[in-house]
Amino acid sequence: MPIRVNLDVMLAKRKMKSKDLAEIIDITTANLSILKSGKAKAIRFSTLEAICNALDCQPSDILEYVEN
Amino acid sequence: MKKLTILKTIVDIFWIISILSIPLILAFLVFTIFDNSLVGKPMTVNGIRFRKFNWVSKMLLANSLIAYLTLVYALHLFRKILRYFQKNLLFDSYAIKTLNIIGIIFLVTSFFDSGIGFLYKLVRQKSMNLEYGLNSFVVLCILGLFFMILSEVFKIAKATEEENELTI
Repeated sequence: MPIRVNLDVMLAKRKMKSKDLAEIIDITTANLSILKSGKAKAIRFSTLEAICNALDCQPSDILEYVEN
Repeated sequence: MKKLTILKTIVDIFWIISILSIPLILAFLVFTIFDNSLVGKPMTVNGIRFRKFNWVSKMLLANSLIAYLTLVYALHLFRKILRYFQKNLLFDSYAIKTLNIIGIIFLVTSFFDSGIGFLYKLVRQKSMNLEYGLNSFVVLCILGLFFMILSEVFKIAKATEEENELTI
């Protein structure tokens, strides 16, 4: 998919574990794993807002457009 | 899902009756094809009156009986789908594939069952019957196309469901 999810990079930068982020943004670790692996088909604005809030970053830090 | 239970019961009753009649049909099919005692006698096969029972009428009879057997098979597939629906497996790929197969069976059967009879009447007996309203040909064609469209709709629904599940 041309949209790359850089969530693992941001988690490493913030030295935060996936489990902790999942708890903060109130989603399951399984769903967070789907998001991290790039298998997700869409992301809700509310989820994106929660992630940005938890990681203190911008949506562009998490999502990146890569040309095929 | 009370309606589903009622439908399943009706289909099951039809299925049991059909299954019981299959050995009789097969025996009759073998008898009419290989036994010549009926040859030369007048007979009506699938709405077509034959002055003499010959190989053409044998073929037409065999064709309509085979069409009946394929419809019984379609009924069997429909029962399987209803069982899936009872388990709440609505958008299962097996159900989608089977709905399409049932549609194809209905369409092919309608053409073979009614189409060949119509052609025979047209070519051999030089007569043409035009029936307005719902005859078996029209009903089977509509049902076949309906099942095929239903399969497409379920395919789209399955994709939407998957997309919904993968929305975080």
